[in-house]
Amino acid sequence: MLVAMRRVDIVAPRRRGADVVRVVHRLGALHLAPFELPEGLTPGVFGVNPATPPGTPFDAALERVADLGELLGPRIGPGHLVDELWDLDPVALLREADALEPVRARVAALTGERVLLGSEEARLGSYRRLVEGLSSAIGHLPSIRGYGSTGIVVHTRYRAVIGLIRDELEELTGGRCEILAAEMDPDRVAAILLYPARVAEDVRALLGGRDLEEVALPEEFQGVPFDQLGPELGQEQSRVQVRLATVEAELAALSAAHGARVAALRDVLEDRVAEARALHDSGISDHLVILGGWLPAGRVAELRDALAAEVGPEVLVEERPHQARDPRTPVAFENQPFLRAFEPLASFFEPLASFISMPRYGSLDPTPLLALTFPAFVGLMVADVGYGLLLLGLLLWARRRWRGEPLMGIVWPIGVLSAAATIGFGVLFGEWFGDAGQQFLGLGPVWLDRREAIVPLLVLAISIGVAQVGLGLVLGMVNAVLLRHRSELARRAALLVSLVAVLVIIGWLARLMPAVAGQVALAALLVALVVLVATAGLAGPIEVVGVLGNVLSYARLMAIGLASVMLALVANRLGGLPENVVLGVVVAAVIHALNLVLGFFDSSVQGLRLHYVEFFSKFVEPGGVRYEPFVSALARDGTRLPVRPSGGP
Amino acid sequence: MDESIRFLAAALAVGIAGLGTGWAQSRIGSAGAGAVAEKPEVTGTILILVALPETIVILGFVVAAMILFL
Repeated sequence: MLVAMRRVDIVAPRRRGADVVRVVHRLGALHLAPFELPEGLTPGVFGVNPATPPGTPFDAALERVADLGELLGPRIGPGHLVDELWDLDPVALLREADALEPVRARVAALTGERVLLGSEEARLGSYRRLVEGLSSAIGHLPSIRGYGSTGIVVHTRYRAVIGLIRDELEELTGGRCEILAAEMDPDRVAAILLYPARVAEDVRALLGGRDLEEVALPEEFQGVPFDQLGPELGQEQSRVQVRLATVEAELAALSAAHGARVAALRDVLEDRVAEARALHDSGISDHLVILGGWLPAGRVAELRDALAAEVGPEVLVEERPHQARDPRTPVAFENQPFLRAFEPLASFFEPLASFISMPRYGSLDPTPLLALTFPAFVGLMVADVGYGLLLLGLLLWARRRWRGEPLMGIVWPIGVLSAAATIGFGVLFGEWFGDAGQQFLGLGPVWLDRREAIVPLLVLAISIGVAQVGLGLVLGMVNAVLLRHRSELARRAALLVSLVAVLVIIGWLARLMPAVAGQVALAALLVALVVLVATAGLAGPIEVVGVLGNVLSYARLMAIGLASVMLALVANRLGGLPENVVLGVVVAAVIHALNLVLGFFDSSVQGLRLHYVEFFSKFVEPGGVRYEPFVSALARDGTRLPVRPSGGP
Repeated sequence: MDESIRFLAAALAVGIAGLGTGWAQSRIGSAGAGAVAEKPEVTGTILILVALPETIVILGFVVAAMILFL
């Protein structure tokens, strides 16, 4: 169900505005609302708070501390440090930020040096690899002063380019050049070009634009004989590596010493900035400040008590009359623990607000219905004891592997319920890895054999469709009553009557129903069509066709199930073909694995689709606003003021 | 002859509906791939949207079942 919300206005003396915001922030229950001018007052009396511009000293401090936090590595501020810093006055808090300036300067310098050393180390390493690649050839090379050199690396498949460069270089230098090439690794060929130093610019122009990996020799090594180059480069690289390790160690020490405090300070400064913005968005007059918002009905007294205790009796909490139809009221779910996993699915389509989204406040919560029928649909489609047990095993493994992960909190309950339904329907249909259970263990169907009972299963699937679409329309009528939408109530009632009437007429035509019932249904259908034209215009009667299409769409419950059982049978038949037992088992296992993945994936998507398109579209009122309370860093460790992902208390 | 025409009709009901579904899914799928590339958070939405046209082939299947079994 959805949490009952209350709209409140907190009225306080202007001088106590900041204190009120702090208390509200600490409580973490109020979903702030932008200030609205109370009826009967002019903007000259109340307006946006001019005393607290959005930019505060905390913004600049936060920027500096956040920078430092990024450099020291991301982390969450430890609770005890957040507690310690949260109650500091503004001056003391800014002093804390200023005290970290020397650390920030040192960390920035070290980080800059780390970047330079890293690129230097990479440059030396690549040249050293190049020189080592050419070491055999270099041994025969005399030391020549006045000659320049350039190293290039090309992919093995383009090594012919070295010959072309040789020709051009000989032409450029009149033959006074040398090119030494050797394979660095299977993919790359290295080459060193030797040429008179005076033509260095011409050589650079010659190589330019050829998409070659050019390795420039560090300046301090220009002119060093090649036989000495390798060892000297190695020494320099070692020196850089040692310095790099020293820098890394110093940064790690600084992170260990200050990282936690920096993270906590960043969190607290973020809170101060958020409070300044909240105060800025509040309403203010010469003497009063008004902070408005929504909070769960059960927490209004808690807010009153907290404000009375921490600010004093001069603060009033005014509760506005309950307005169920106000579309701005935020929505929070409040369900039993095992239903909570389905809450994200109930607002799955939030990005597409026109399709379906967070249910509107005051309407019905679709979560319990989704939790009941979604696993049942998956189970009905897959319906195999073996696959259900395998899914259960995979879930147990995943739960152990990713224990504590938030996603497992969603996947586990949904998966277990789906696996249980799959096993249950598998027993009813006598399917254990297709017909393997029947063949080897004699476990036949308790209710229906899906391979043969095609028509009964089709009737079952469409009956489920009639029931769920009909239920959706009934719930839609309830929602229309709750939200006081008279035309919607009439439209949904007409659609429901149309659906029932069409079914009765079909029964009459098939001679399963008496003629009187058929004639009454015909009359009811005509009346319903008139109501639909009146409420939804000429498109109204077309909606009846849409509803019938929705009902027929449930045939997928049977069709996908049939495909699943047939693929399982194919796996068993193909597995039985080879004379080699091991090969047969492998073939069957591969196809069963494919069927398992396809079966659960497809049936999940189709199950959700049936809910979103066929079921929820009949009653869920989209456009709800997610409840996002004004929560401080004090609550973020989840131990003191737990805030659910869906925003509920 | 009648029997073979019934089978042919059932096959056409599913086959043509399948082609229609495939064509629709190809359009949604290609557009959806672009959308997911830009906004990965809409992956779930796109999955459902790709599944929407399958109603066409399901209806074709229902018609085929009616041709064969009723």
